[in-house]
Amino acid sequence: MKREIPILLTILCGWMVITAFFTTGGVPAAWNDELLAWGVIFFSVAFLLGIGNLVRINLKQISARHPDWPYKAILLFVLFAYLGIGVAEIHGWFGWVAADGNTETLRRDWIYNRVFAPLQATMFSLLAFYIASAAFRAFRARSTEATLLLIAGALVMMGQVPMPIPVPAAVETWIATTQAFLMSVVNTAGQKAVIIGATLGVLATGLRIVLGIERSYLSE
Amino acid sequence: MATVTDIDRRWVFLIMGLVVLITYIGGVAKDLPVSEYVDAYYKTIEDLPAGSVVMLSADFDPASAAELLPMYQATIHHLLRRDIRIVNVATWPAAPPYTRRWFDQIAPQYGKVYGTDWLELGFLPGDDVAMGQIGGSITSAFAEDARENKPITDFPLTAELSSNMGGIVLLVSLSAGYPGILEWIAQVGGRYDVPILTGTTAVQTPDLYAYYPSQCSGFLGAATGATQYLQLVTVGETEVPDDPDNLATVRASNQRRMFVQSWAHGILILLIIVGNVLYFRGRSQTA
Amino acid sequence: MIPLALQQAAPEFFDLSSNMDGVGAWMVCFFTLAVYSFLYRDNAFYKTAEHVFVGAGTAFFALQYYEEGIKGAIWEHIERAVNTAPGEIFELGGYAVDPTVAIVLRCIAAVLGLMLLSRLFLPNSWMARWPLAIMVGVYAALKMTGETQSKLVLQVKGAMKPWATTDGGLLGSGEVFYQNLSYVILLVGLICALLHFVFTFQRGKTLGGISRVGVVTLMITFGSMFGFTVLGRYALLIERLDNLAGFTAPAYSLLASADSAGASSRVSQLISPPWIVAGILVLGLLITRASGESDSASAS
Repeated sequence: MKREIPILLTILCGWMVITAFFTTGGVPAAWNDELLAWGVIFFSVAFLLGIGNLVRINLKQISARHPDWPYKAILLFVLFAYLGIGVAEIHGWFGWVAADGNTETLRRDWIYNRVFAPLQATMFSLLAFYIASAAFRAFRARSTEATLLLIAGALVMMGQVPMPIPVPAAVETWIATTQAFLMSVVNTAGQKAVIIGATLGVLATGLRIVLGIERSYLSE
Repeated sequence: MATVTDIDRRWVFLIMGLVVLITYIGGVAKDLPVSEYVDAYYKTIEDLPAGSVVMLSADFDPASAAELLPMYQATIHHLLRRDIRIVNVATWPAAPPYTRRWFDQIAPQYGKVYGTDWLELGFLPGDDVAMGQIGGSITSAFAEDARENKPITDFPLTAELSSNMGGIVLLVSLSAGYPGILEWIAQVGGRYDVPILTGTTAVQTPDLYAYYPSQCSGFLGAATGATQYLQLVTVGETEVPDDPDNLATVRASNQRRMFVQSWAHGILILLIIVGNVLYFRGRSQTA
Repeated sequence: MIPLALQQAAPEFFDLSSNMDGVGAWMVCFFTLAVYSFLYRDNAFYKTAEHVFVGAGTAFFALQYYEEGIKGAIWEHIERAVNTAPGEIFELGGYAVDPTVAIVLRCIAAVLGLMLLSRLFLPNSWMARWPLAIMVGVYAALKMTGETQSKLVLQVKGAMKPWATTDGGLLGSGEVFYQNLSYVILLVGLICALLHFVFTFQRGKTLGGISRVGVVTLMITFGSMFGFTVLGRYALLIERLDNLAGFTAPAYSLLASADSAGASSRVSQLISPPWIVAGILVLGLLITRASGESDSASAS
């Protein structure tokens, strides 16, 4: 029964959502809405589950005096401090309630604007350097295909921005027109092929799941 | 003989860093030609009758704000200026601090009343599931609004909305990836036949060509699209250097960034060419 | 990232309700430049910033999921159902239901949520499988239906472009010719790229040739994607630079509290957070490098 009940639940819930897709309103709409709300709840709980694992792994490294243990301690300190402040704000503890009686976001936003936002934006901007280095070291016109990839990339790069130095108008027009053709015709064909191929995969996997054939998600 | 891989990659970092820094200091603002996709985005909003309700979805975070935030600001200005009402949602957890700040700043400029002219519903977790639920019934998906924490049925704007996206004439998603525009198209666009507009990060932009115009009526692709749209929205407006939040200032700042961008692209292409020359020269010498 | 005001008035050192204050300017500059210090080499500043990022990011996301996905979807929903007056309608997906039914259903979801959480303490327990099974079923069905319609049926439909009216000949002339030709190229590219992924038959001359056209289409597509990726990454970098430059404004300078108007603007800029933080980081990196070299020298 340990495996049978979950499989039955998957099949039942899957078909309930599929039925709602082919109907408008009525009871199917109600059960569809409720099941989707359950999905929202489980999704959120799953994230909290992830925090449990993060804490466990870091505590283990601190107790084992891993070379980076002081940083792990910083991580846990920031995590719990931010969580504590946030939960207190959400529930209005310590009188942290907005003037109109609503939940405050002041403290959370303060940390967000000064810590999380700059760090996340900068972390991702680092890729600008690595993409340049990778392109310099590895982007080679070794074959016809690689050369095409390179030329298409260069044309798109130049076609999407103004010219850095003055060039003849004819050259500028040619780059813009070729880039537009590559994007709206060839790129569209390639994208459509990838989308259609991937969707066939989604359809096949989805069918296997709602028919109870795919069971790997229940493995230990 | 030394090969390309022997060169310390920090030299490449230094070159690119200096190029960006120098061109940033000497950056100039220049108008860009507007593409058909951006024009379609602009015209779709222009053609909406005053008083219609649009759902605006903030599907981005600080890592993509460089490209999407100017689009978000300009879209709010454009919609409110045309007396179009907005229901704002977010499917990315890091978006609400932006939505709070910008609506607070822009809505009063047009004398808009919260709950009647715009509604802030906040973030809903669950990715595709959240979008499916919002599409099915907004009032079921959000128990309370995100600004005043009141049941959303208490607001006059909600009274005009019904299940299956009833009452919403257009969905605009400013999308940084997953979940974003492609999921909105899958869960809402096709199912409820709602026209969709989007502004996307550069990484996602190539995907959008496959959806235009049948499934996506117009799109702003990356920083280029943002700059072009800002040009359209701020026609006749002049930059106010002391006010960085002024839309014309944002436009000028974006145009200057495009100048830096053009140099960075040029130098990167040059680096690729140099890398190839060194590689093939090294290979022919070895042979 | 939120653009900074170039206001001349110095901001408060600590101000909860503002988007940026004095201490915030130093924090943003430190975290930004500490991350960039990684470009030189891995170091303590970067590691600190990295771990603060993971801690703050996880906490921020957790708070959002808790507030909207648990408090909002369970507690506030039940509260709304409880407060529904007799005779008033409570809707689920636009369908009127008895509020008691809504409460019971959401309580079941709460219990299932707790069962999912049990995985933390009982990793192999059967309990977490029930909510997981429901989640998998709901997601699979939703993806399958929505994507089949919009990414299969409508994509195929979108590839069938109407032939532009010609004034003679198959493809016409002028603008019409280019339009029709582009439709042909799109269709041929699409079919060839799709056939490239057919592995059912052995590749002979015909299928091999078609596949080659497909590969060319895909390579140009990937090249375009690379071009756009570069565009996006540099947009981020320039924004960070823009952000740092905002903190060199006189309002954030150490001279701001004195007489910023009287001081030279260049001096004022040099003693602003970005430059000072950059100086400290460079000094720190040089010191740790020197001590690292002397350590390795003494060890050898």
